[in-house]
Amino acid sequence: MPRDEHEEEVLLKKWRAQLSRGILEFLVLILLQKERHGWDILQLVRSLLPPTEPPLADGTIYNILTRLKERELVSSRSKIIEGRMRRYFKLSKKGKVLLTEMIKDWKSVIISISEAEEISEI
Amino acid sequence: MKFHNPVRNLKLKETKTNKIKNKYLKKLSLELIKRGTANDQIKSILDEVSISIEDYISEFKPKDFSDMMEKFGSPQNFCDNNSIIRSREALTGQIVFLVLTTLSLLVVPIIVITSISIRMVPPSLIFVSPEKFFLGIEGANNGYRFLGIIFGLSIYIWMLYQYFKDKFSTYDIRENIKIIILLLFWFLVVFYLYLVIRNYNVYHEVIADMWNHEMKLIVLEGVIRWLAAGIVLLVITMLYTNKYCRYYRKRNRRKQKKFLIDQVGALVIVFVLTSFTSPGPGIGVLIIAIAIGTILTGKITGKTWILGMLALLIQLGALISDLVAIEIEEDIGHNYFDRTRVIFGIRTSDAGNIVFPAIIISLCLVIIWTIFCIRILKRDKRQFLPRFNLQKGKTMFISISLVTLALIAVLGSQPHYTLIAEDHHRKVSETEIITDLYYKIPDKGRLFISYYTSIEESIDDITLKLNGSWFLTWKPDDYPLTTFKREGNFSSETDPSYSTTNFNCTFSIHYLSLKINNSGIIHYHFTLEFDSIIPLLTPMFQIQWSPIVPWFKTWNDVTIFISTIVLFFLSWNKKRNIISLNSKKGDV
Repeated sequence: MPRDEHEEEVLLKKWRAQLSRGILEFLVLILLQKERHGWDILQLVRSLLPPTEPPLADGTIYNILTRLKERELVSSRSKIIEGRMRRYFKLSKKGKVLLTEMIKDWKSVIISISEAEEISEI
Repeated sequence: MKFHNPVRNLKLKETKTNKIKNKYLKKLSLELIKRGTANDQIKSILDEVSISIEDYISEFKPKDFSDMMEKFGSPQNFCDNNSIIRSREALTGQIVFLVLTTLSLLVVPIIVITSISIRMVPPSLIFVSPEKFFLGIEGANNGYRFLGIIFGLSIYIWMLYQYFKDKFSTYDIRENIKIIILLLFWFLVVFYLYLVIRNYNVYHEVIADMWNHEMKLIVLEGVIRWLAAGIVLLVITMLYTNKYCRYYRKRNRRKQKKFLIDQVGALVIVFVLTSFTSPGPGIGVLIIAIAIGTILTGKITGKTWILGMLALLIQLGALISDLVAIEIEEDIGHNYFDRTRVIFGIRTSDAGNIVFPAIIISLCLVIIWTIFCIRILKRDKRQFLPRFNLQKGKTMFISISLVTLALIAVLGSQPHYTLIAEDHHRKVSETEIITDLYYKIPDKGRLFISYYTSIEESIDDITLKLNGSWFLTWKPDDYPLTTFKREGNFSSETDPSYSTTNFNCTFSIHYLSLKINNSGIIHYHFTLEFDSIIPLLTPMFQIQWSPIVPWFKTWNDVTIFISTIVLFFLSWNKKRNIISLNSKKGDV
């Protein structure tokens, strides 16, 4: 692979990793508008985000859930299903307020990107 | 037949979970340190991840640690995913922190071992009586300076514990510092016991002789001091051990409630105020190092400022009185007087040339300390002046008891003896010595005059025949009319009274003890003829003064005592808190 292409590849990987990490918390909050258990969230996040190097580990996603819970943005309950404990997470009232603001910001970012594209078209 | 025990199984599972969690978090803490992450951040990350791991394990049940690493992600992976990047500068900071931490812990054994090596040097003061010999009052007086070291170091370790108490997460690998602190406390206890046993075992004859030679008070004071220092040390050690066992081993995540060991802070006042003027080798330097560390970390309160100021002012006052005393002694024109002084915790052998520069250094330190403290206090909006604060019953009782014991152990009429003069005559080849010696004695007390000689021969077959006479006059400063004179002849034959080795024995030539009620000048004259076949004698003259002084005799003892009591009832709060309280009142 030529050197330039390799550099581009590295940059792209870096950018994707940064993007994934940047929106991880946001994505989890969106997913938790509906009550979901830990495993479910892990699988959904992995399928929705672009693959990164290093790959997103369970610990990273689970730690975000802990952080959101500590900040009372998410509520959780435990349920024993087939002898295994399952933890269910759901957005709290405080979390909903925050998510609404975050979605607004995200939309304005998308608009800004579109505008930037438009004004840059030759 | 196997019995199913659900409680046991649950406990086993919990242990396994904890093992996996602790191992993972230890590795993570190491990785975070390697990446130079800030200590506060490491603490919050580890506490947060510990909850995540507990939840994760309870839900996904990894088989073992490697399974956990694979699924949950390795610590490296965790750091990469959370954008915790490696920074060379930050890593340097972490290395510096670790080095300083190691040094701060190493200081304790270094000072103790240095003290032991000082202690192991055979006492230079050989105190020879006609009937018996003494191995020196130093041993019998129970090494007061070592009590200062033991007390000082125990408080220093307590300060280390206060610093590291909430510094790290309980899952941090560096949390093992608390075990090291525990070991250091017990190391001091062992050291203390070693000194007690050694002193009373090796010097039991000396102590008995002192008791019989009107030095009962010194012996009693020595015992009380040992007991006081021992109780303070043991109480602190037991409190810490108890806390360590009850809280740390359980690794309780909840915020630890205040325990009695945390209330030992009152002793820091005694430690800081006595550090410069008490002869504890290294303790004064240690306090300066702590002060520099406090300035650099910016953790200064009004109390820190006043404590540092008081310690420096006490040192300054002691130095000024030393300067005056030395000038007076030099005016009298005697060659031999006690020039040893304790300056910044270090006993100097000849303070004559050091006192004045030390005064300048102390003054500069007062100014520097004040400037730095005021700047930091203003920046942090902290209170300069204290407010009255009465502590709670049990805490107050323990604190006052410990402070009293510490003051007994550290303050008082120390040292109990002063070597006024020690004079080696040149190797005597002639057989006659005629000498006149004059010494200034600074205060009332008991004088012990000893004239002896060492011979590098075996004890057998040696007799030393002496001829000659001596006289001694005592001229008090205030009452010259009370001058008195004693005189006598040397005994015609002296038996060796002491031997250190088989090839070295000590002959007592003359021993005299007298009580004086004032300061004054002593004149000792002797004419001595050796009718001896032994060549190269080295006669040694020694005069020791054991002052009869009440406790808290010196003004700095009084200052330390009063300051400790006053500071005990004062507290400093943040200015910001007061403003917010006032504004709330106003709003209502």
